[in-house]
Amino acid sequence: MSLGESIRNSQVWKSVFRHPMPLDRRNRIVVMLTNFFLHLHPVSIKKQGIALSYTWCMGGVTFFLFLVETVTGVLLMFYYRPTLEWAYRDIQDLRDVTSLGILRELHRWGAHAMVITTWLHMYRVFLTGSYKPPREFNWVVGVILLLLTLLLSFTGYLLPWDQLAIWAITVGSNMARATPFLGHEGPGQQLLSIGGIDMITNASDARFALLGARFVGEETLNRFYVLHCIAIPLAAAMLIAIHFWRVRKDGGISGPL
Amino acid sequence: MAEKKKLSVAEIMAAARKADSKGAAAPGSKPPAEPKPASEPVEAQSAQAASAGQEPVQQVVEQPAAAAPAPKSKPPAGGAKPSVAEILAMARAQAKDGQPPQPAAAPKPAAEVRPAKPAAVAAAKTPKPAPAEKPAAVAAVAGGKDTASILAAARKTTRPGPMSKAEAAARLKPAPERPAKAPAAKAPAAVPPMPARPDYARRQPAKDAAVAAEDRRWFLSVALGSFLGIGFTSLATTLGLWTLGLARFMFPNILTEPPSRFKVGFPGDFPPGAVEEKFKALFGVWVVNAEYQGEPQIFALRTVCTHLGCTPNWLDAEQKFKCPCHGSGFYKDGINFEGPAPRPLERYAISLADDGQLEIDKSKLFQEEMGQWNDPASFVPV
Repeated sequence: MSLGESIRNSQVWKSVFRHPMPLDRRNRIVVMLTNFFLHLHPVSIKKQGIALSYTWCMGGVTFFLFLVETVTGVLLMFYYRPTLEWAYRDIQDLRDVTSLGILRELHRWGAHAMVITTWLHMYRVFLTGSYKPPREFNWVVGVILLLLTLLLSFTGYLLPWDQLAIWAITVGSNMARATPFLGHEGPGQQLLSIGGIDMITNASDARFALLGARFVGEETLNRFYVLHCIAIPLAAAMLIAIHFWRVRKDGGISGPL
Repeated sequence: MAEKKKLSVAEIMAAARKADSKGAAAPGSKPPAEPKPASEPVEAQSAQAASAGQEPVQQVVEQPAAAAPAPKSKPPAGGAKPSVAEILAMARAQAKDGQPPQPAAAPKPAAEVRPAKPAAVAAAKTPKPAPAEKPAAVAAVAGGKDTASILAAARKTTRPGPMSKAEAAARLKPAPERPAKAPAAKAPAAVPPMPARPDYARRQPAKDAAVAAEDRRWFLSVALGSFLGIGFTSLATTLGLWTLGLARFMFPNILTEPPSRFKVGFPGDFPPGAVEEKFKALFGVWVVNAEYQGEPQIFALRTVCTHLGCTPNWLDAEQKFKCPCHGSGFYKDGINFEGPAPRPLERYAISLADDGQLEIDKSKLFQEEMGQWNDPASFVPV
């Protein structure tokens, strides 16, 4: 018995691969039709669906970038500590000292690219009319995903903890002051008061919930770190799964139905 | 690739199933008249043929499947959308005798039929009752429809377990002529032949010097011999380099922990009997000026209990180190005297630096029970 055969007859091999080697044509076809990983992509799609000039492959590129961001982000978490003492220094060390610290740049470039490709994907879907029924729900999911992409960029922007980051988040989060009803400078803020005492102040409004403090500080850093690394990626991953599933269920990728 | 005719997936599936059923039956050389298990693909053919409104072919007349009454349902209305099973049956019939299938069932090639939806639903439903009288046949009809039953059919017809290449080749050979019972119209399957093996994939018969030289170039020709080869080679190289780089990435180039070699002050800072605790938090060291075996000396005790590794406390009132975890107690010189700790605390190396300060080196440990506390590197005599 050759080595290959003894491997293929071993308990370990058989526990991993549920079927024998597909040696005839039918079983080869069956393997293609039923493979879980190949199943993520449809077995057959319309010719238009793989025409680059039609799809621009922007959804696929965005998903690829999401994976890149996930992998590089996890690796960066090994070196980054979201504290006032270490956040800035760790980023400096990634640039100057750490081997393969270019992972941080890959993460940043990938983030910029992902925002661009998400917009282009949306633009293409609009131009081809792929938002029309029965795909209108998937368009809504896509808009939420665009929002999450932007929020990922926004929260990730603070983490280097340099002057640019601190003041960008300060300015950006000031918009939340003007939230209707829930921002302490927003319209209708006065309506939410009990016995003449304002319920919505600068220590209890939407901006305060976002920052975890009145000003951008260590609480904000920790809050944005958790949002950036855990909360938003989880939500995005689930919505991406739904997005892909709906693409399949709503008649396949792009193209007229 | 004799005839360049393009085949649809359905045709290929049908032909493949046919070829397999032939191949599977041939080596066994069963008499065809013998009744077969109901799930044999031959029966699937008959059931599908029945569902398409045809008389079962002669081959299966004696089988229980064929014994089922002829389909009670009408053949599908002309122009109705055929079910997958019907498409398969039609493709098979075409391959078999080259004639178009039942004109009533589908006047056009299956792929071109685009009927109104209600008619399609009705047509899809009508053929079902007939085979439904025999559950096995139902499964066979469904065989064309979903992956689970495709798999089931595949599992039944192929021998379980891996097979050698010789066996596979034997199976792919055209089966010998069936005995007389076989249907007359059993033409060879219209399947595109597998492409011939490229030269590099052929097994070399013997190895003389020239062939051996050929063998050595085999890897290069595969790895760099084509655009595909170059592509995969560079992909694999990139992945390999990244893996190495990421392995290196996990080893930081700077440490933010306190140094393992540090100065604690001059010997005069530690009067006799003193246990200095101020280096405990950062460095994990007590600097002690005490007697060991009657000799006054300064030494550095490691603040790790020798029982399970907790950090003991120095109790000044009781003049002992006491571990909060399990109650181990140590004298001032580090010797254990109570609790579960099996041996004394350990010492770090200590020495006088050039500037007269005491310098502790945490990279060297000295254990009392091994007689290492007599090593002059483990203490500074007072």
